[in-house]
Amino acid sequence: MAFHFFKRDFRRIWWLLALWFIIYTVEALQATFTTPRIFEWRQGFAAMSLTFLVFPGLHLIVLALVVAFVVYADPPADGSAFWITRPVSRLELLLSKTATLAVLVLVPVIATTLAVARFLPTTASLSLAVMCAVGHQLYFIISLAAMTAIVPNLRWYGVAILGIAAFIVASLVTGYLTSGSSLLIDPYDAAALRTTKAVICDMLLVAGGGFVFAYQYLRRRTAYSVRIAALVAAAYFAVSHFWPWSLAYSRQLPSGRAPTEATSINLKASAASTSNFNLNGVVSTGIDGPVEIEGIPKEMYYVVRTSSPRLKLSNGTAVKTLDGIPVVHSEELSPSALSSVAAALGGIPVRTYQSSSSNAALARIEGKLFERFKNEPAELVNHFDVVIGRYVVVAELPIEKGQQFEHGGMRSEISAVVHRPDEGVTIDVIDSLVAQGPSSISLTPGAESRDPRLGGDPVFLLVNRARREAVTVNTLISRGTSNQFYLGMVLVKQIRELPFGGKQDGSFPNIDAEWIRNATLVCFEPKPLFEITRTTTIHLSKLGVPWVSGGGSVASNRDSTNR
Amino acid sequence: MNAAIETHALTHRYGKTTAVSDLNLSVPEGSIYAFMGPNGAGKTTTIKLLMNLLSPTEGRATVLGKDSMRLGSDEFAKIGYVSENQRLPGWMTVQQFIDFCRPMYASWDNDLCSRILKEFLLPTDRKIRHLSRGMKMKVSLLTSLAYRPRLLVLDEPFTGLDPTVRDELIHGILEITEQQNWSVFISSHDIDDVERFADWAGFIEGGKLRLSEPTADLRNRFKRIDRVVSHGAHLPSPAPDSWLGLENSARSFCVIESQYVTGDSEDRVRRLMPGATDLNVSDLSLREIFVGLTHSYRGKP
Repeated sequence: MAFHFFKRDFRRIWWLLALWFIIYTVEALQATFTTPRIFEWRQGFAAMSLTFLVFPGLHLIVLALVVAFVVYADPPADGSAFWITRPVSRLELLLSKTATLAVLVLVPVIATTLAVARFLPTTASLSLAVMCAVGHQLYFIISLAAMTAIVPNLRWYGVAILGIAAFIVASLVTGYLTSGSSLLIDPYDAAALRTTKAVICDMLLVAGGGFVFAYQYLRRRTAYSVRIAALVAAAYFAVSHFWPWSLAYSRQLPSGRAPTEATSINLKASAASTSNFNLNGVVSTGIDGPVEIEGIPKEMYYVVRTSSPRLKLSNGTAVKTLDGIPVVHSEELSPSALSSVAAALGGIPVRTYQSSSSNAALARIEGKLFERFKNEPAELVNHFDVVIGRYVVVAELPIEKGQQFEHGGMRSEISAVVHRPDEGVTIDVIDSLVAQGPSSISLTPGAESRDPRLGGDPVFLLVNRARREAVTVNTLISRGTSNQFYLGMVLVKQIRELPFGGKQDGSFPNIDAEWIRNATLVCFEPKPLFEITRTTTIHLSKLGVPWVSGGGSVASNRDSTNR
Repeated sequence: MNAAIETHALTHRYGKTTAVSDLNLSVPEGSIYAFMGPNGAGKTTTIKLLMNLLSPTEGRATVLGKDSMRLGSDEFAKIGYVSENQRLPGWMTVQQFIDFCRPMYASWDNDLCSRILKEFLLPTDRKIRHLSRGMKMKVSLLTSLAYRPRLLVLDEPFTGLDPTVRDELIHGILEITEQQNWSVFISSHDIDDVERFADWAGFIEGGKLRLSEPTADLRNRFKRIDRVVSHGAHLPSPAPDSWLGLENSARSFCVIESQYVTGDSEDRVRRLMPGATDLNVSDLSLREIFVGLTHSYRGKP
């Protein structure tokens, strides 16, 4: 009997399914073939952007209609539906509806698998892509199915959809959905927390929505189902706003490779200046200063993973410090990273535009407290957790359009090489990474090593081996194409433009067309190796500035302990 | 005699409004039971409770021996339910709907289906949503008769239909009642239509079942007594409880006797109204009984 209903539903919605499939195919083809060209054909960018909005919108509308037609063929919330007084097993009816809706999940999953298999040949990447596609489709289809199961007819369903759309638009306009208190904590933890929340919310929605849908068909208790749905919605809201614990996988690194090596590593920190923060209306003051490490081999880089500051006034009063801002470098490569990259190139010196600084926020104090104690002598004790690793070359390719390579589940391809009139070159690189659609959770094999506290993203360099010269090329412009979904909203495409100028000062290689022709694009990835902990104590003559340039206080390297 | 439908203190409330109150009903198997009552009396609510479309607030009901709350596909294979409120799949043609329903019933009788289809003059290739209300009722009835249900439950099937369609529907219903042990439970306020074939009648008013008995007993029990009275004769006060619909004019008086016993009832009239001369006892239609009961219960708790 389940198959009997399945056939009937399929006969009813075949034209909608066909429409959905056409839209889906057009969307997929558009994502596959037009995205790289957008960046060659820049005049058409705005027009193409519009189609990127239209097709996903149409896709969602048709999907919502398909689900509505399937459920309203035999609605569980409508007491006048004819099936209720017919010899129809509720379980079989539920199975038939589930089977029809499963088509909506399976088609994109199969399409994704076929499409992604071209780009992500590794099993891990492929299975992750499939998982993402399943998760994404389930998220939408189960939410819609649960809603149709508790709303009696198409008219009220339309009203409910419009209500939800209005809520989302209003929330986006007022910034309600995008605001959050997570900025008060470590931004990297905040990112992990967002992912945790998104995963929990998605699971809640899929499990709760699925339960409501099944319960309605099996029991037909709409009042209870509405209460359950309201509970799920409340839990979703609570988790998305108040969930405090990050469940993100935190990569564990071994402690110092060898005790002798670890004990020879010293960390120096000194306070140099203060700076004010204003995060979500909370004003705080940071005590900044350089953090440097001595005693690591030149092929290694270091990055401070966490720091825990303790601040005590000379009279013994402890001053509360705000948790969390770890010592991180700016986006540019740190001197130690540059050294590591150069070592990976076999000693080819790396030139950079960057004026990197090792200044870091050593402690952060609430504004009012800082004002109160800024003239007091104090002692700042910092516990640092430092990751040490090295950069390795993962790919080296000629600077030609179409060149591509994979790294950590991400596929990069040079989509355009534009030689500029000033003899520089602009290289467009498209990164395709596996991503979860509904809550923008990106799940990529090896993504954990992109945690800036472990070394950060891959680094690109232009290397001319014949001239033994290398220059850094950083991402300077990020095109806003994240959330542009590819094939069933599975692959997020991030476009990065790598501009590079030709005329430089004397210390910089003379980059011209000839230099570029003989150069290669080299991709490095950080490989964290081990981590150490160090404690420093800084005696501050005054908590507040100004200090004397170069550090007004002595940095000490108290007993170092390996974790 | 087994009961096709039985209720015990069945009660349903919509918030603070009691739609059905303490209903004790028994529909004998094989009977055609007319469930009558004015609009808003609780007929449809009762049927919804019987068909497990609503849950009782209190009490319970059994249908074909099974608790109404537990009616499943096995029971619905033996029950035909036709209601003016039932929503049929409008996007299907009549033939598609028949083809869709057929596999659900092991007892589906193709010959009977074809015969009724022919009698009802249904356009098989037309979509259900394009049919008139009467046609839709016919489709619903057809797909509820073709599997020869043991129990046919009809909720206001004749409302708003023209006389021709009514006759066709009634003919269809009578078709199945020729079979043994087939029960029909029909709610209606079109008593003239029901009267033709109902052998049991129940009367519900204000959510309460006021009477439930065979129509033959009803006709025997309810009689109209007309009498010519002399000028100045007085009506008895108080009138006996069994007298409904008391009417009088200058020279005559008429009463519906709800507990008629041949001879005794006439004697009582003569005794209570000694000045009366001519006495005439006549049968009542179900409609007249229904109207008399409605008036008498109006305002009673």
